[in-house]
Amino acid sequence: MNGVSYSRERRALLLYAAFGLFFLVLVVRLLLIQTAEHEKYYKMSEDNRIRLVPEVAFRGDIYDRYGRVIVENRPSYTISAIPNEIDNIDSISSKLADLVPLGKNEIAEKIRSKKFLRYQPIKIARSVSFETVCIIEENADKFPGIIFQLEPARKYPQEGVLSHAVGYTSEVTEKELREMKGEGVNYGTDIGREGLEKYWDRYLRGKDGLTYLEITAEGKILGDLQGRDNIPPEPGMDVQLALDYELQNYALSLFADTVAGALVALDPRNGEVLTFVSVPAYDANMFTGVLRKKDWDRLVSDPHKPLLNRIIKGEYPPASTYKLIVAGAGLEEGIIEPETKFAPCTGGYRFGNRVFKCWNLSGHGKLGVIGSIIQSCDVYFYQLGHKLGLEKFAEYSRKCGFGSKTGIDVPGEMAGLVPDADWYDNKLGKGKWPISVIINLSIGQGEVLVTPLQLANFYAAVANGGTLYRPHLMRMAFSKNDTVYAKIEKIGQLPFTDSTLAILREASVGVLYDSHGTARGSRIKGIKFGGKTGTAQNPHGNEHALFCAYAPVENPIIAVACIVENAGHGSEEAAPIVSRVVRHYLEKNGLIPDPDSLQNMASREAE
Amino acid sequence: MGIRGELTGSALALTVAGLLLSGIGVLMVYSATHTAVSAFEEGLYIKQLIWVGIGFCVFLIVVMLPMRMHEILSYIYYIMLILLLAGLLFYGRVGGGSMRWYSFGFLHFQPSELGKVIVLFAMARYLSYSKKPSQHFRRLMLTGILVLIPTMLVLRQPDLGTSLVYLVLMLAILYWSGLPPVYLLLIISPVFSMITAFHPISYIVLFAVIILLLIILKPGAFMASAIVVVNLLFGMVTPLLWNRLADYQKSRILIFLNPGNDPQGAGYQIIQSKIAIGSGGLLGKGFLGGTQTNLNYLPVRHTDFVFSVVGEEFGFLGGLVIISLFALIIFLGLRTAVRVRNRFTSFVCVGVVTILFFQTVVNIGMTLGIMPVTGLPLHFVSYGGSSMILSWVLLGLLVNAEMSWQEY
Repeated sequence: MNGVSYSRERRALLLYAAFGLFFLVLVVRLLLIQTAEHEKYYKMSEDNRIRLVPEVAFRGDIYDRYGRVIVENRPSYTISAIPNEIDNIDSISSKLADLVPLGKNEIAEKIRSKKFLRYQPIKIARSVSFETVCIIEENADKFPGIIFQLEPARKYPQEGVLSHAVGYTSEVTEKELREMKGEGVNYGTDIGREGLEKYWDRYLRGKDGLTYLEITAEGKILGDLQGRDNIPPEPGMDVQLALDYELQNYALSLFADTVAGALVALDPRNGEVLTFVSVPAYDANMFTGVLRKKDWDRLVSDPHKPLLNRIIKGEYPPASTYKLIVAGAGLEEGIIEPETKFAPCTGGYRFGNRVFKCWNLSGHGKLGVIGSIIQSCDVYFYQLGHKLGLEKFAEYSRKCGFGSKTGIDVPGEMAGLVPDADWYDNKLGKGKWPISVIINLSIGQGEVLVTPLQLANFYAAVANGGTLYRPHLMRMAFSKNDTVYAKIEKIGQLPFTDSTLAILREASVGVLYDSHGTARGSRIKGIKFGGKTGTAQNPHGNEHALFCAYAPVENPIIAVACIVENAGHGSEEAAPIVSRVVRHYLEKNGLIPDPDSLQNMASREAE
Repeated sequence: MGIRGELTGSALALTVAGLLLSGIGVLMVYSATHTAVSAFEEGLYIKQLIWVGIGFCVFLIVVMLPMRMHEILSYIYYIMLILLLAGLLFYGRVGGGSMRWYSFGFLHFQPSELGKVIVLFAMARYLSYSKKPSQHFRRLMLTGILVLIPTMLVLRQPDLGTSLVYLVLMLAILYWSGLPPVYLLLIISPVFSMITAFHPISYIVLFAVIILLLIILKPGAFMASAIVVVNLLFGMVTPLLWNRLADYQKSRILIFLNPGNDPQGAGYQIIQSKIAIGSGGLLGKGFLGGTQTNLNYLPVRHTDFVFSVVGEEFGFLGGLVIISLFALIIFLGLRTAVRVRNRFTSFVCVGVVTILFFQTVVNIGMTLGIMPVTGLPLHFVSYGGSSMILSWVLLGLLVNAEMSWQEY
């Protein structure tokens, strides 16, 4: 047997070696996993057992200048799905599709795309009705994995009174979520999409809190995680606007239901926005729930474009409201003196072989600059503009704040257009455009485009002695322990001396109070204010009516620009609206007695 | 103990190692199930403790019974095993679908577990009595048939893990019988043929190597042609079979080969196991401190993945202890296999060591993500009566051999 045992020993050597090698592999692998990869796996084990439940931070409320609540949070029902508790996504989706205004595929896609959240609820439909919640609650066995939660949702003023200013919020997208890491934003957090909600989102939003829970693999919550403090949600800051909500409603009511237009009022002393009317408006509340496709289609297909924020995105020819800029430039450049008169207006101005008509075809005769503004004589401005030239026109326009954004705290502002020689060269080819473009521009027609906000800001500057302020809606943001005030910023200075401004003001007052003034029908008793009408030619339809104004002349507290699209003459369609808004605002600020007490006074005097 | 033979240090060490592993097993089963979610898991560690007790009694019996008795009865055991396994196919079919065990109330008897020992006995008996040279064709054929019958029956259950144990056992025993390792390579060459069949160049290379080996070794015309034919057959048929499989069948096979492709099923188990072990670090999270274990993230943690519990709660240190204990048993067993005088006993020792080695490596390798999920439990440690009793039977055979090493 000795020979056998010898060969056994040799054979055993190979087995020892093979077994030893395999055990060594196990030990090395074990060591690697538990040392080199320990950190990674430890984190994974923590991620497994810890569920972070975000606690929604309430968005700040929005108040008007007198402390009236404009936007607040209301409780709303949200239907959510817990992916790991759903066996059959398709059947659940088709059942839900009968209850919420979403398609079966849309719901299924929502659940599938966020399946990795496992036990974290995925929001399916927000702001659902109480009836829907009841149906789901009563048939809970038919909706496994479907839950409803009570959540804060935005409540906006009805009828879209402020939709263009305030905008709306909606759920953060996955891409944004990645970009906003560490800002206390979670799946389902609402962030501002338009208007102030977007611009001041960082103040309004707050920071979601986090609750650390320990959960089992089955999703059973064992309670708060030991040794980890929960992070309480930080509510967003409340925001107070300079806007006068009551005046806003009043101004809105003055627009007929069928028209499109805008009215923006500023405080000339600091650029605060007092009203921000763009009609037609849309109801921002439809964005807080589930946006129905037919609602969206209706919004988008409406020829009046309710989603268009006309105050900052509507670019219009300024028409005669622009004559103040041209007049001011002429005075500053020494082309005219206040009394300078050009060839008399006979209802038209011949330039080359073309006749540029005055709106008054019977002619205004010989007028100075003030009279020409009061009566809005086009022929006077054709001649003045021609002498001023395109480059000076553009230069003064820019210095008056046109052609660039004002920097208002509502996103999406347009810059308008101040054309100059370079622009025409680019557009039409070098030297391929007639010198006569300046003739049209000098009455605010042709290629020049402005936003209502730029006009209002210019008239505010005329009123306040020449300072262009950055228009802003927010006055301050405040929380329990912090207050942030909006800065009052000067963005420019009108290129006009005091004497020029005085002439412009005198002329604008004449527009209303002179017996020939184009807006004499819109005077306000008991106070003096200045303004300028405009009637913009519109190749696509009726003329746009414009009126800009400020009041009172001595100590101005309001400047307004108003446009009514396709309505006709500024004097007839825009000036009366502005006049009523101005009168209303001055009355409530005690600068003119209200009509009742005026009557009382009159009767007392009579006695 | 009143046992015949000589109580050597090795015999004592083997016994202590088995007891330590079983003890750790009971603790781990307690840890894995003390936060019981289902009533089934409640008090499981007590049951395990009882199984250890029963196992230890069986161990003592095996130590006391003379090896000679198994040598004589081995073919009778074998016939009974075949009957039981075949009976299971019919019995199982009655119960709807196939089954692995006979059920007696609360007790489940799993013949394939005990079959590991019985197949070993049968092979040991046949080879220790055969006078033919180790490479002799008929000897190899008969050994193969002896193993393949129960293997096919187990595969039908289906229990791939256990049938693999039988096959590996056969290779080890043949090797121990004196078959040169190259012959072993030739025997398993059909497996390589199956794998390389999808890649013509590697298949041709493999085939060339096989031919070369056959020319050098000259195993006889019969054996040589058998090997060539089998390899050709496997190489040709595998791709044809594969293409006839339905997509879901293909994906099942692929997932078996690479569980990472299936994050919901087997892949999920492996990931959770690696998380458990990796998060344990060097010293572990402490007894009952494993979150993967206690919060049920680790699947089948008291049976197949019990090593992951050790890794999570006792870290590298704990894992090293388990591996060392198994290594100790295996190396002592191998030493005994070398020094016992009885040929049958020597085969039995090598077989026992191979079973223990194979299951340990496959089980622990699985928890570490380097072996497929086959459902082989970890001896002594995993929860389960059949596995526990078999563990002690195996250890009893080693201790028996060690104590009676002088007997011819």
